[in-house]
Amino acid sequence: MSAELRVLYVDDEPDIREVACMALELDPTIECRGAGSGPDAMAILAEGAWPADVVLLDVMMPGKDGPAVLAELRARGFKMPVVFITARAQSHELARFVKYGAAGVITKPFDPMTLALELKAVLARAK
Amino acid sequence: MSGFDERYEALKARFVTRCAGDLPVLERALEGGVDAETLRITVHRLSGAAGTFGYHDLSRLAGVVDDRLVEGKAVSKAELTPLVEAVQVLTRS
Repeated sequence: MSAELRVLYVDDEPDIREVACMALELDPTIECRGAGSGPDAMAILAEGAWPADVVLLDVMMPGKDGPAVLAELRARGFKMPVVFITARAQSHELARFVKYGAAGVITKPFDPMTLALELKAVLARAK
Repeated sequence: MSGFDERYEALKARFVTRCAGDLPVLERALEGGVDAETLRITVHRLSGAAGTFGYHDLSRLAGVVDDRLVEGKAVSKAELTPLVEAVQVLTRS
């Protein structure tokens, strides 16, 4: 059975990436793939074999940060919702992230047991 | 133990090992021997990851230092010491 929601999780921290995908796939309707950087994410999406429904994007990454990756996604015509995930989420920053075009923000540290629920809630609010 | 739990515990152990690798950086920072950007990257990673693995106090302490550095402020020895001690306890227990 194919997943209802394909999530591309982009984070330079391999352990967190793995926990996040494990956690998201506790929900049987979600399939998750990880990418370690913006260019890695772009390569997966450009290949087209695995069309992500949503991109969960770490804000602070070396090289290209989350907002820069989001800008590149939009410049390349990818229109799927993008949700930022960040340890830094003060109120003025949340507003800034939404201004960039993010569907919402999830804060780190996340609870693995509720990450899928949290993501779905963010997506529902963005509709 | 479920497959999820086993993998989670393995990743948690790997996180503790990585903390042990971060400890010399934090200890040097106490003596002012680390530049602000290196320290910021280290504490930011700790802040995000520690809580996910259930180390909430460590996450909070790292977050305090992270906040100071992101705001461009200097971190005092008094602010850094509790974080260093928490990492020492975690990695040497």
